[in-house]
Amino acid sequence: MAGAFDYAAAIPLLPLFSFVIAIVAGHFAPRLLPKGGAIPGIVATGGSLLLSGWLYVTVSGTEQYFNQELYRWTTALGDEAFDLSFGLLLDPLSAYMLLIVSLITFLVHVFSMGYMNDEGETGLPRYYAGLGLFSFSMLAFVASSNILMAFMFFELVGLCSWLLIGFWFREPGPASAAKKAFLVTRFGDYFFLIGVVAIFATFGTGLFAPRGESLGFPQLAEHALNPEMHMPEHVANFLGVVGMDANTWFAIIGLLVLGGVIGKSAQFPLHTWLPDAMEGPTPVSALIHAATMVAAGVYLVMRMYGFYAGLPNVLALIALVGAFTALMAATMGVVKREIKQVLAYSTISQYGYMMLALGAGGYVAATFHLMTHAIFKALLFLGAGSVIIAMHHNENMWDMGGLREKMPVTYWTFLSGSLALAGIFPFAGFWSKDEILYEALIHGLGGQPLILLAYALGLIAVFFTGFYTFRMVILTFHGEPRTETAEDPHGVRWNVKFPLVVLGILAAVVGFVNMAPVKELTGANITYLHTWFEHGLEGVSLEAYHHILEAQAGYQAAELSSIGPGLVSLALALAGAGLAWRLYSGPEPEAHTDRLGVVKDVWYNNYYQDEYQVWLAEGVTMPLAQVADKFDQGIIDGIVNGVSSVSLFSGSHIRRVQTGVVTNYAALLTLGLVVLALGVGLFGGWF
Amino acid sequence: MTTRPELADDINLLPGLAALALFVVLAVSILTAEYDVAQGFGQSADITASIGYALFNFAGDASTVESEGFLAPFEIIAVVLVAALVAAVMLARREGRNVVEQLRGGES
Amino acid sequence: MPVETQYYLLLSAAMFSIGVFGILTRRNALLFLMSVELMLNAANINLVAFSYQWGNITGQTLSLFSTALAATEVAVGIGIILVLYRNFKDVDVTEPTTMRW
Repeated sequence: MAGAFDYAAAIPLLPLFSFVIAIVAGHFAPRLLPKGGAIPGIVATGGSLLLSGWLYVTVSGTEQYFNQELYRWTTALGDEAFDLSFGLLLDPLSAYMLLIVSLITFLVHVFSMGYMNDEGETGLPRYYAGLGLFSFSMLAFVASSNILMAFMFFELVGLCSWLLIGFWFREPGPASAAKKAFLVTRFGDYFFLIGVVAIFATFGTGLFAPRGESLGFPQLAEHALNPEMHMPEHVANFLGVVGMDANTWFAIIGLLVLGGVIGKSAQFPLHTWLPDAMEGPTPVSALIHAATMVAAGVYLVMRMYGFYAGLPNVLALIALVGAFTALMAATMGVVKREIKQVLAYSTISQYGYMMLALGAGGYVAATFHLMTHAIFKALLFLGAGSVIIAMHHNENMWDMGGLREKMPVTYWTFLSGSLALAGIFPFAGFWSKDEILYEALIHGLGGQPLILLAYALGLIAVFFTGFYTFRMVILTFHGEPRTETAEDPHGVRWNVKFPLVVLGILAAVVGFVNMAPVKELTGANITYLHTWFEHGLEGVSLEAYHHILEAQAGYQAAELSSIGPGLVSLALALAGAGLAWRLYSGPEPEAHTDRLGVVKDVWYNNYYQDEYQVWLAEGVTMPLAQVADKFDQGIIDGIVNGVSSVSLFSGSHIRRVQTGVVTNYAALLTLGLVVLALGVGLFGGWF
Repeated sequence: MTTRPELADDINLLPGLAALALFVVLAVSILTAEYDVAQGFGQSADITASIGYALFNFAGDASTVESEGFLAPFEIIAVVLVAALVAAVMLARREGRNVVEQLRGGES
Repeated sequence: MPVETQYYLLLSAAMFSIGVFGILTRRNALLFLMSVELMLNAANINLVAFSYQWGNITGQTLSLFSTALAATEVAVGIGIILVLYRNFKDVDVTEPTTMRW
């Protein structure tokens, strides 16, 4: 069934066609789009989903991988013989991610019909065009074969995020939030771009995986760092130019690329855009800011894990940033009033967990959590969307209550997602979060004290996660209705319930693909995800990563059973959930968070990070920009104007020769003749 | 009554220095040049007849001084004189009246 | 003893310079034309002097034609002064200064 690879290019291209259709037909022939472009979008993403599934089966069954160039757009730049091209890399990781992304995208398109179309929104072709363009860019990003192509689609994904967050751009809030999202992620992407250039300069190639004879840059980095292997000549030359040794320089490159990752995956300090991005429509929040776009950063690290695996300092930084973000965001989520805000901080927190996993050397744990998080977070957002529709777009949880009886499908699926998020056995989140913490613990105990610190932060965040999740569920669905809208909510149709049901079932069962504690107990070989990632192209497989982690980064795994830590994190999660139940259940819950006093103010104002960043922009960047502007206007423009003023001045003075009086002209003629005669005479020897 | 001629006192004499400079340059170059002995025309040369013969490209007899032929310029200058006459008349007439009226003298 | 050629040339140069002086300083347009005539006649003297120097009658014939052209030029010049007077109401050469910056 090698045919799947031939059709793989259609996976990203189908949503591109739906984008074009939505734009063209939406502008020129709106009547041809009865649902404002939803149908082409659903058909396209459904097709992508089927192709992704087929691709997944192919990759798993035949162990064939695909790393081909589709279009070469420059060759042999200058002396360097590196080529810039578009290509597809289809190996276990990308097939896995393509399936996840296309599934969520398809379900969000179906949900959008219920959220946008049924609510009578206008401008729908623009919305579905934005979704189509986003799907194209995300799928192309996942399948990209080299880092420059990944960067291009990374940026395009950011652009689509701006377009979609600012969908209701006529209001001041969404427009400002869209701009903030774009600027903050762009700030990180600036460092990413420098990193891309550095990679090309150092390695001469941007490929992630070997293609034919040539190696990708993570493999070249491994060759350079491993003393037993031969350092590639190109790398050695460049290190000579830079004047550093391989470890330092590669760490710098890793940190530069990490800038883009931190921006896109909303880690501290570039996390401030994500809560504001909730101004966009809820399906957009579900798709972009929960399951796919913010995953792009973490996916990039996974894609080039062979590069990062050999840099222990960078890995430690990633783990600490992730764990710190996880804890910080979890604390901020505890005091929020709107349901989408709680979910936004939850997203930041959970991506912190994935970064922790990657930094701790738990590659499978990170990818597992990526999948489960995509499913349950999308589910929670879609469920929140259903609640928002019901509450006539009022998001304040304190105005809700008692929706459990009136919206049973939403309630049970939302509960499934919440149990997964909090990490309660046997839902999906339990298995993945548990594996992350386990990997962090064993690698930390194996000789990496920073990872141990990160483990501790992550463990504390589990308690907060359980607490805010169940606070959200109880305030929204339990108790007595607190307003009239809650007593008589707006009904939702099949196009809202269908995605919720699908995701709800998945959130419950998908954890079973990689139950590491059960494997340990029973000895059965059921960690399918582990097996899935074991094989791959040379240097791009789990075995290769383990080898690099042990050899270069010095990561040793301590011998510890996974059941103990698992029980600890489960206990913490249940404790958090139990505390929330005690505080908020009952017919009339109080706002207990007020008792925290000053702490609540700090958490509610997001540790004043937003104000700090605004100050950076206004107080630091603006004066610098004004100085630069003055230089540009005064000196550079001044020089140009000065040159022209010379010609203007001389012209205005020389023209006064033309007096219009004939005798003046005659006088000039005569004088000229005299001078000429004198000159020729002196030269020719007349005198 | 006519007034006696007077020296012009309203003119600006300064540009005249250019004319003076021109004369000085010309004079110096003329006086410092070397000249051959002037050939002259000979004792029995008939100047006026020679001019006449030269104007019509005639060869002339022994008492004619040699010259180039000036027949073509003679004819051309005739045309030029006619053209100048026409030009002068055309410049001098007033706008919008025909030639006969103008020659008769305007308002009559 | 015949007059040497350079004195004729000197005379011609003097007349020419006087003519140039007249052009440069005279304000009346008719006097301007008279100065031009003076310059032309200076050129004629030059031609005749060289005709004697080389023993060739070409110079004198040419001076005839030069005189005829001078007459032509005066005819046209008087016509121009007439039109000038009509437009500017004055034969002062320094009056018409519209063709300037």
